[in-house]
Parts: sequence; structure tokens; C-alpha cells
Amino acid sequence: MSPGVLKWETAWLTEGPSSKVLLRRGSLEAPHLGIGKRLRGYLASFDERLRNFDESRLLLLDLETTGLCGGTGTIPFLAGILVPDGARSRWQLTQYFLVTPAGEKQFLEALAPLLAGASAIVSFNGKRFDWPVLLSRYVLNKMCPPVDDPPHIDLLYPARRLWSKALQSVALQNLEERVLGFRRRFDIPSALVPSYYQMFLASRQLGVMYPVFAHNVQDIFSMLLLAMRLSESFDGEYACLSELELAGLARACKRAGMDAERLDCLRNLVERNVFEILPYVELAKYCEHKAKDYATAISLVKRALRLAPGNVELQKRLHRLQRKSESWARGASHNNH
Amino acid sequence: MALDPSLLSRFKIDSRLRSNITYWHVTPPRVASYADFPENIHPDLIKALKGRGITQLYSHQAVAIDSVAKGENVVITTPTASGKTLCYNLPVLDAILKDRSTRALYLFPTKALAQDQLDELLSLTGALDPPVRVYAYDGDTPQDIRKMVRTNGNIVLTNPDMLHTGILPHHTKWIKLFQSLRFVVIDELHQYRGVFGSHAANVFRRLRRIARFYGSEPQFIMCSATISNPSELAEAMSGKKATVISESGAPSGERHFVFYNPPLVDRELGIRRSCLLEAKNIASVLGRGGAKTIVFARSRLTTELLLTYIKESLEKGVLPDITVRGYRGGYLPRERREIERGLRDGSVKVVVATNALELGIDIGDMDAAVMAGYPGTIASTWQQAGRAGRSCSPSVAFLVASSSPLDQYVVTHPDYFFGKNPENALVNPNNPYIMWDHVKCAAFELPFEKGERFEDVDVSPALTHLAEQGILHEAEGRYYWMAESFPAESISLRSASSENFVVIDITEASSPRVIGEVDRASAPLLIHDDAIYIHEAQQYHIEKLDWQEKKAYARRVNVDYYTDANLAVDLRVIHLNETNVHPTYQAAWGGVSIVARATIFKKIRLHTHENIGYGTITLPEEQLHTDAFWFALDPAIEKSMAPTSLQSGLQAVANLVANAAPLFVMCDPKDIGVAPQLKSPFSGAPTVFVYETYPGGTGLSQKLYQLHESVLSAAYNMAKNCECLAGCPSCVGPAEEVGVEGKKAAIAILEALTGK
Ligand SMILES: [Zn+2]
Repeated sequence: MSPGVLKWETAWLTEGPSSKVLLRRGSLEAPHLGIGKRLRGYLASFDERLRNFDESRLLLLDLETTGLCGGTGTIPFLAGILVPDGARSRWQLTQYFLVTPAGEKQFLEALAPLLAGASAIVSFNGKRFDWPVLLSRYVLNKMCPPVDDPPHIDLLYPARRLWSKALQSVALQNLEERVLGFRRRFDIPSALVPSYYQMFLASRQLGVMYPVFAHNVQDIFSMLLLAMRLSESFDGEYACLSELELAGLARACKRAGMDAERLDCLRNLVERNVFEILPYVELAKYCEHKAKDYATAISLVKRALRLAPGNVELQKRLHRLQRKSESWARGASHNNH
Repeated sequence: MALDPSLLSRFKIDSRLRSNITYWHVTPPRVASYADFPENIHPDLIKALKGRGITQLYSHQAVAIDSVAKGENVVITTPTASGKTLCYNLPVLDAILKDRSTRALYLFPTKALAQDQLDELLSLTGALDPPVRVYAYDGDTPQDIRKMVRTNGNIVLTNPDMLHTGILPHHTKWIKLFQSLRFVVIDELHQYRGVFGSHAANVFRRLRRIARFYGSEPQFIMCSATISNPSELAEAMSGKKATVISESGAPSGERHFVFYNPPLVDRELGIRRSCLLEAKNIASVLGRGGAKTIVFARSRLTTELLLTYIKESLEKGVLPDITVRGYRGGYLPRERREIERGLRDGSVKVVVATNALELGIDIGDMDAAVMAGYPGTIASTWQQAGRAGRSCSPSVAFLVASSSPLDQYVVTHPDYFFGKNPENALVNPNNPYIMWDHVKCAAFELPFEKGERFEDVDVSPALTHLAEQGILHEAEGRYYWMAESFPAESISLRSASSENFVVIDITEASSPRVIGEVDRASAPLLIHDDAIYIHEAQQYHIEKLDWQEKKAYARRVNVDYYTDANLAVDLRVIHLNETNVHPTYQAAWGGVSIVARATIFKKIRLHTHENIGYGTITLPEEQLHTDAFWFALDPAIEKSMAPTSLQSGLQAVANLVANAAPLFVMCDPKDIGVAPQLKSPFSGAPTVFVYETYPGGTGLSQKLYQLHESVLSAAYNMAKNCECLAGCPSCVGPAEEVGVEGKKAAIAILEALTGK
């Protein structure tokens, strides 16, 4: 599934910077992300540079490699790169393909200016896999890495916050099916990608590789769709989110120390009368300790107790709140006299 | 409190104890030989050392530091507790203080040892400012600090396994370390032998290859227990000649070393009184006499047994203040620290330990060490004995022999033990099975150039082969790793203990329990279907051997027979490496192919030894390509003997040689097998083959060939000096196995071979 209309300049890969690196370019008609304040705030809690990065210089990156274990024997042979293309609602997609491992230097040279010029890298699980693998290739080829530690938005982490409670797995394909709402057709499983490259090296038939090129394009498109969806979830109307997503968002905000946003989520959940007691309790804690609004706290705990009758923790909390509330009332009346 | 001299004289006066003492060795006290700190050592380091009470060096430390300064690879073989660690810590810290980018990698054979050394090193570096960054890096290192260790650690303490799977395949993450790697320290070098050592030698080849890639050529500083071939082993590990420093300048108190052989209880069968009970008696005498005593047992189980015995003997209220504690591998760190503290402050008097304590753990000075059974090598015997008398006061060590051939040889041949150490720690880095595994790992780490050698080995055939299989891809004169797998992950440096078979007691159907382990090679002989397996004097009937699952199911029984299985070994010589002709025999070593199959077993009545039945064994045959050492007898010897006595004599000689080999090559008895051939197809004469049980061999055969005169002579002494009548497990093997003629014939053959 594509986030917009994709037009290739040429259908086939053509010679790139050297005969050992092929490439093809296409342009994609699709809106830009417009990452809002909340998502930026969340990302900034991991890397402060992500609060104010220049979105027009984003770079979405996805590598296909000869193995999935990492280590210095893992060679990336295909890099898919998507960058915003000046004008609005357009992106530029480029795929770089390593025709022979002997051309790795040229491959890395071609990627270097793009990586160096990016304001932030966007990936899916790239923090643990794609980026270290790529960095290690520069070292191995005795080249200076174009950038050592760029701001990196790994969509896996916010996706995990939002959806891991609802889904068994937050693998990209599962997110596509359960969150983005589509199923890939005519795609090869990621695990088979290395063997396609082995077949290519043995046969030198470029045609062998097209399923992999298509797979890589789909990965990048899914990353773009996922980024759009995350941006909407963090900064859009809460009403559009499911209860589980809202709860996930509250967790994400809690982790990032975004209290105001977190309370918004919790209030929204409480308004929806969810069956989960956590939002009531969390909100009651806030009312008790921060806002000192004992009456609201008591009513929240009572609502939670209706969902979980006999919960000892809740009962203790209720008694404590009632005591506090009484002594506060006494203190207040005392002062009045 | 020091060792009371009157306590020692009790052993000389008490006639029962005295009669079992085969040798009493006294090493006079030795005064320290000191040297000043070299002039150019960084003043901060000297200050820190003085803060730790080190105001000058022992002479060997100064020599080591001097050799390191000259850029030499060094191996230090001075005794336990002579301050070996300073020989590497001082030059390394000095280099770091002078150039903060300097890195060093310390290797210890186990995680626990690295942890102990980390503590020691930290106590020294704590006084340095700015601090030298020292970290342990192993499987337990938390993920969130690994990056910091990689980029900041001046000294990284790890083990060869971690280097193999965690560091080398990810070397680009360790660029800072490899770019400035000045020193590689290998402590406990003598433990790098056999399969593990052969693997490790290749891991170090890979390490040097990666270091060269980043432009560094590290210097190796190694420490070893005393062995016969430190320079050979050091060269195998470090890739070049190493200077050996063996002359210790550390002081030591007067040392008594007592060999104790428990009395024979059955002369015919060569059975002696239990060495555990004898060790208990000795430890009790020492403990009552106020000596801080450490008792070593050889296994976990015997540690617990001895502990119980000694506790009973010492804590029975007579002298209530003698506290006895156990100390072995499985104890928690907290318990261990508590015991160590007790030993230091004197509240614990007697400790019973497995070899967990053999290695450098701080327990303070002990007065006496008692070894229940020979620890297997001279090197570890000295390490265990060295736990007593680390200071300048007198100390005593008792070696209590078991009935095993090795133990019996050692206690009856003190020259072997106290002379120049004849033990060789051997490796075979070029074992094809092992080396090809590491060529794969190396190819994963960094593409091989066409024509590139793996140190001195031409690996082009292997590279071509791997390229044909699609594991490597050749392009423009380089071989790129192209398989999806991560080769280091599936290659273990230690011979897999998963190869062992477990024996499960199913007598109580509701609670089956594992009672023992049997190595793969012995499994067809000991735990085949219907075998009688004996464990701690209890007979078990093997109901079923599950070969695939490596499990044998046993039921407790009480029968009047034992079983004896026959292993048909078909050995063929594949190639001859070296040979030489002696007046009465021809010795050689080379590659052999072996097909072994357990065929039948006999049921033999206890005591009378009559044959009361047979059974067949149906198990798959085992194939093995390995190295062997052999000797073929001159026809004159053959002619001088009756055919039957020649046959049993050959078997007996083979058994003796197998028993004697570990005296010279440090190996486990199960690492070698023997195959006597009455008329060998290869030599055409009666020939005894001694083969290695590890595929491809680990260097034992070549060394046995080189040392075969000593080995044959030890085998001769073993038989000649054994007190049994016609063979026993301590010499040629029981008479039932080698025949009543066996011992006599073996002595005759060995006399002819050795010219005695
Ligand atoms: Zn004997």
C-alpha cells in the first residue's frame, strides 16, 4: 500500500555513481508529516535535538542486508531512502543497490552526503540494527562515517508504547495489518531477503532482485504511513483514538515526563467510562498529591472500586483519602473560626 | 598463629601415620630478592603502589617489567603468590598514565577470575587521579554500560569466549580499543591447553588480525603455573617468541611437603584404604593442633563428603571452637566472602574446597594444605599446596594418594614431582576441525584478501572451498562473508560437555534422579543396555540406553556379577608424520582413522571371575580421524615370547602407556585411547597405538612421540614398582582384563624397549 502516487523516473535500476552501484529514483505525491509539538516533546525526552529539527530535511532509511544477526559480516546491499522534496506534498525516493560487495566503498560514498545532510533519520528498528550496521561498514572500509550520532527517530519505540498492549507483536507487518489496516500482497518474507541476494550474486540476473526492491519500497512506505499515524495519534484529536491507544499514549507521556498531556489522556479515558481501573487510579493520585482535590480523588477511587470490588489497595487508598479529606475539612473549619 | 613444629613431629612419631609416608620433602626458607622501581615509572603509580604497601619490587617483577619495556612478549612462571599480577599491572598502568589513549585487554579463563582480578586492580587504580578506567566485560555486563566500556575502558577484563563471540565479530564497535591496543594479558596460561587451548590460539590469531587492521601490534604478557614448555605454549598463543621469566625473587617460609599413601587393604587387587578417610584423619590432627588448614577434594561430591567427615570429627564438642566450612563453585558470592572473612580473622579453622580455591582468591595465609587425591597435574598440585604458607612462616602440604595409577606413580616417584617439571601443556592450533571454524569466524570479521595467510597458515584451499559453498563470495580478489549465519555463535571454545551422557536412576518411578555422567567415548562400554553400572559402590542395571537423547535409565540392583564390554577398535594409519628407529622398536606419529564399535559384553561373577554369560551390544559405530603415536616392536621381542603372553603383554603395555601419558602431557585420561595390534597392517609387527579421542588431535601425539622414552620408562616403573601380584587398576589394569601373564609380560616388553 502506498501513501500516495509513486512515479519512477525509470522502471529499471540504472548505473549510479559507479558501475558497482545501481540506483533508481521516483517521486511520491504524499503529504508531509507535520510532526506536532506532542510527538516532538515525546521524542525530545530521548534526544533533545528532536524537539526542533527541520522536518524538510528528514531522511527515512531502510536497509536490506546479507544477514539479520548484525556483526561485521553483515553487509547492507540495498538502501532505500525517502526525503521530502522541496515542494509541498512530494517526496523523493531513491534506492541504491550494491551490485558487488567489492563496490561497497562507492555505495557508502553515495550515501554519505545524504546522511550528513539529514536533520534526523527515521527508521523502524534502525537504532539497534540498520544504523550500527551502516556505521560499521564505514569503519570497515576505513572511511570516516558521514555523521557519528545523528538525531534518530526509531518508530519502533513510540509504536511499542502505543500498541504493544493491544497487539501481540509490534513487528512492522503486524502494525500494517492491525493499525494501518492493510495486508501486503505479492511480498517476500524479510527472512528470505539474504537468499535473494545470494541468488543474484550467483546468477548476476538483476531480475532476481526485483521482489526485494519492491519489498524495500513497501517497508519505506509503511514507515511513512506509520509516522503519519503516530503524528496523528500524538497531536490529533483524542476522540479519534481507541481506549487502548489512549492508555498507551498516557504511558508514553508519563515516560517522557509530559504531565499535562498525560492528564488529558487520563481525563479522556475516565470520561469514556473505561473498564480498566488504571486511569481512575492514576488520575486520583494526581488529584490527591498534586491538585489536593480530595473530593474528586474520592469519587475517582469509588468509580474504580465499582469496577474492582474488594480491591484491597483501592480500599486502603479510599480510607486514606477520606481521612485526609476530613482532617482537611476540620482544618478549614478550624481556620474559619 | 604459625604452624606449631611439634604438630609436624607427631606425624613422624605416630607409627601408623609414619608408615604411610612415602616421602617428606623440606624446602628451606627463602629470603626475598628485591629490586628498585625502574627509574622512568610514572610517579603517580609509584605513589599508588606505596599506598598499597609496595615500596620495592621482587627481582622477577623488575626483570619482567624490564623485558616488557624492551617490547618483548613475556611469560612469567614463578610460583603461586609471588606477585605475578604486578608484572603486568605495573607496565600497563604506567603506559596508560603516560598516554591516556593506551588500551589493554586482560584475558582470564573464567568470569570469576576476571572478577577477582578486577577487584584487585580497582584497589590499585582507585588512588590514581584522573582515574584509569578499568571494566570487566562479559555475559553479565549490563547492556546500558557496554557502550561505555567499549569506548572508554583503558583496561578491559574479559574471557576468551567473550572475545570470540562478543568482541571480535563486532570489532567496529571497539575501534577505540583496537586502534590503541598496546597490551594483551593472558593470565593462567597453562589452562589454555587441549581443545580449549587450540581454540583460544586461533581466537588470538583473529585478535591480532583485527588489531593489525586498526594499525596496532599488541605486546603479550602472560602468566603461567610452572610447566615444562612455557615458551612453546606462549608462542602458540601470542604468535611469536616470548621471554620466559621463572626465577622468583619472592620470599617463602620453610615448606614441608608430605606424600602419604594409604595402606593396602587388598594386595591382590591393589585396593588401598580410602584416601578420603585418610585425608580426614590428617586434617583432624592438623585442625586439633591449631593449624589453619585447607583440604582439597577433587569433586563437588567428595567435597561434601569430606566436609561431613571432618565436621563430625572436629565439631563433636571436644574442642568447640574449631569451625569447619565447605567452599566450592556453587556457593553464592556472599557465602564465599563470609568464609574468606572467617579465614582471615581466624574464626574459621578448616576449609574443605574444590579447586575453586586453587585460583587466586584472597583467603589469607593458611598453615596446612591437605589434598585428598592427586589433583591431576604437578602444576595444580603446586597451586593447591601454595594456598598454605604464602607468608614467611613454615607450612605443610599433604598429598594423600588414591588408588589411581597417576596418584600411585606420583607418591612413589618423588623425583618425578620434585625435579624439573616434566609436564607439557599442549595445543594444536592447526587442528583442521578447529582452525577451519576460526577461519570462518575471521572471514566474517574481515574479508580475506586473495593470498592472505591466517598468520603462517595458507588458507586458500579453505577459502576456495567456502566460496564454492556460497558461504563466501569472491569479488576482485577478496572473499566476502555471504552466509546469513553468525559463525562464532555456533562454535564453542570448550569441548562440549553436552556430549556427556547422563545416567538416571529410575528405581523410584515417581522421582527419577541423575546419578552420574559418562563421556561419549565410554558410554558404549559402561552404560549399554543390560550393563551393570557401579556408582558409589551401588550396582545399577541399565535398562535402556537412549543414544539419541544421551540418557541411560538405571535401576538399583544387587547382583553377584559385573559386566565387561569389548570395544572393537579398527585403526588404520592414514599418513606418517615422523618416525625413528631404535634398537628394539620403531616409534612414529601421524594421522589415523578409527572405527570403534562396542560388540559384546561378558557377565563375570564377582570374586571367582568366572564367565557366566554374554550379551550383544547394538550401537552405531563411531568414526574418528585423529592423530596417534605408536611404537612397533622388533621381531626379536616377538620371537622371545609365547603368543598368548605377547597378546596380554601388549594390552598391558598399552594400558600402562595410557596411564603414564598424563604424567608428561597435561590431559585428561579420557583424551587418549589405546589400540594394541598383534600384527599391525601398517608396520607388520606387534604395535601399540596411542590415539587422541578429539578429532584432529590437540598436539598430544607429537609430544608423546618426542617424549616417548620418558613415557616408556615411566610405564615401566609404574608396573615394576607396583606392589600388586599380577596386575591391578593402579598399574597394568586388573588381571581379569590383561590376563595373569599381563604384568609379567609387560615388564619384559618394557625392559626390552627401554634397555633396563
Ligand atoms: Zn599393580
